[in-house]
Amino acid sequence: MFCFGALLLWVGAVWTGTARAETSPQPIAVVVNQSVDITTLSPAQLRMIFAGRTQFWPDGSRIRVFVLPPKNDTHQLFCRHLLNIYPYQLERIWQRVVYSGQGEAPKIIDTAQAMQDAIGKTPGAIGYLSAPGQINKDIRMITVGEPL
Amino acid sequence: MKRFTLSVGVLLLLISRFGEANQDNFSWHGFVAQGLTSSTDSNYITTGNEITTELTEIGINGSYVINPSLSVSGQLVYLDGGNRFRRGARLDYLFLDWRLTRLFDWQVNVHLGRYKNRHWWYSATQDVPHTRPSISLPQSIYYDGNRDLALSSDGIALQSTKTGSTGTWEVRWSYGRSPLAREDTEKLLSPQAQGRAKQDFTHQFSTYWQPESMHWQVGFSLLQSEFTYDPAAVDILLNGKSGLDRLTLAARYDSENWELTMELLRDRLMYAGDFTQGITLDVDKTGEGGYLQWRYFLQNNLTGLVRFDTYDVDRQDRHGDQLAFNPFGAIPEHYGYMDTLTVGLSWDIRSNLRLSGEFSRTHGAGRLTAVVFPDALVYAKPYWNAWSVQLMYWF
Repeated sequence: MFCFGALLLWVGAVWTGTARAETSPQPIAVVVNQSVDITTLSPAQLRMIFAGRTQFWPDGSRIRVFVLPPKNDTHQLFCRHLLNIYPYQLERIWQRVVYSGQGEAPKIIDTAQAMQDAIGKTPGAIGYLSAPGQINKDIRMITVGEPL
Repeated sequence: MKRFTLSVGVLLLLISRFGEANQDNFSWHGFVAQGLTSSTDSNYITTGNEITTELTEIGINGSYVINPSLSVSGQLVYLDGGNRFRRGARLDYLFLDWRLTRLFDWQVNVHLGRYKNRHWWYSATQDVPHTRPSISLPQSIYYDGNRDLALSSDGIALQSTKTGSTGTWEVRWSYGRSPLAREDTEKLLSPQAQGRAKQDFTHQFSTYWQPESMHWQVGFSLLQSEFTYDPAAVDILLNGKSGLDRLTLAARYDSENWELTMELLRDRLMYAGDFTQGITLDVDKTGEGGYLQWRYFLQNNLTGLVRFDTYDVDRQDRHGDQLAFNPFGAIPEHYGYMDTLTVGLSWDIRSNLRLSGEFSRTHGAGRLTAVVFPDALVYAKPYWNAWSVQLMYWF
């Protein structure tokens, strides 16, 4: 009996709190190191990479993931609009990956400029930038949408 | 003990050797947590209502990527949880991770060695304080008395993660066994048992689905496990076998400012054995329980928690009335169930430093120990409290 009661309470609480879709107020570009031989990723593939579940590019080279600090506005927008998850969900996934021996969490970079520099210097790197105008010649943007 | 020492040696070698050799492919992390805790009117955490510092969790892990298909990972932990489980160091996991696929949309991994139980929401990182929603986890699912049986096993595990337009599917399977310490035999059976209980196998399967919206995640897990008792030359128990079948259902909803989590379980526990006094043990009972947990992110750095956890030892005897007729001696009826209400608060002082506190009020004692032998029961009044405060740091 308690099972059904708990289930009803749970469903009721969730019903009243369903999140609504939001639109991105500013464009965010996904960028990679020039060594990465990829031009397009699907949203699901992008999420697999940033959640630490996919750790190698198709050519066998290591994926190096860079992110801005959790409270950074660009990071918040990136999580919500490109990964379609809340930042705390991503953090929960990283902690599980790191402390159960399944991989490495993304490296946190303090500023957008440092992000550009780090991605440019690191083969296999991927990250994101808010409304990039001129970008470093060692990095390039990729499209997020159609599957590979 | 020899196996533990050998495993620790392998892990330390891994950390020192590969840490120097190739920093790009080697990573290591750790955590340290210390707290104050007490249980009143119950010996669940402390005896005699005392306040203790026996709330210590320390761990270090390392992972080395050998090539795109293979890596090796290990974690050592030191745990002190008062009376909740055995105090001491453990090799939490040490396994070879073999990546069978290199597809973006579909990852398949095989883990060989001491693998982690990844079948429940928190089991993969149950000993890592900052990954838990609370200092103590709900006992219906994460029963402290079974900690060393449930969290890691020696054997093989397989996991598959497939993502696409219909969402993300995770499928996990594992088969292995967990080595049991002498104290575990006493906890599982009776302090009078002189022999050793050993786990013959534990076989688990689980699957979870998360739709593309990523707000929901639902799944279920199955567990089957068997144990055999090896009696000592002079012993109260001449022979014994035990089996456990478990089904859990799990669901989670993530919203902007809060998260709602639920796990429900039904477990069938079977004991059979012969005692020197001519008593034959033949127990077959099905327990039910689960928890509902709500976490609210009050501000960026503060998280509140409210949780109700419940467990009935025997679904045919939810109020424990039949325990008075137990063949090994009468057991008070409040050992037939356990309902706990917990409230907690966590404050993230920095990105890797957290202070957590919680208080729980419990009615019943059915999840403090296996309710079969009166001399193995952990003392508790029908109503009792517990509280904990813990500071945790991780890197």
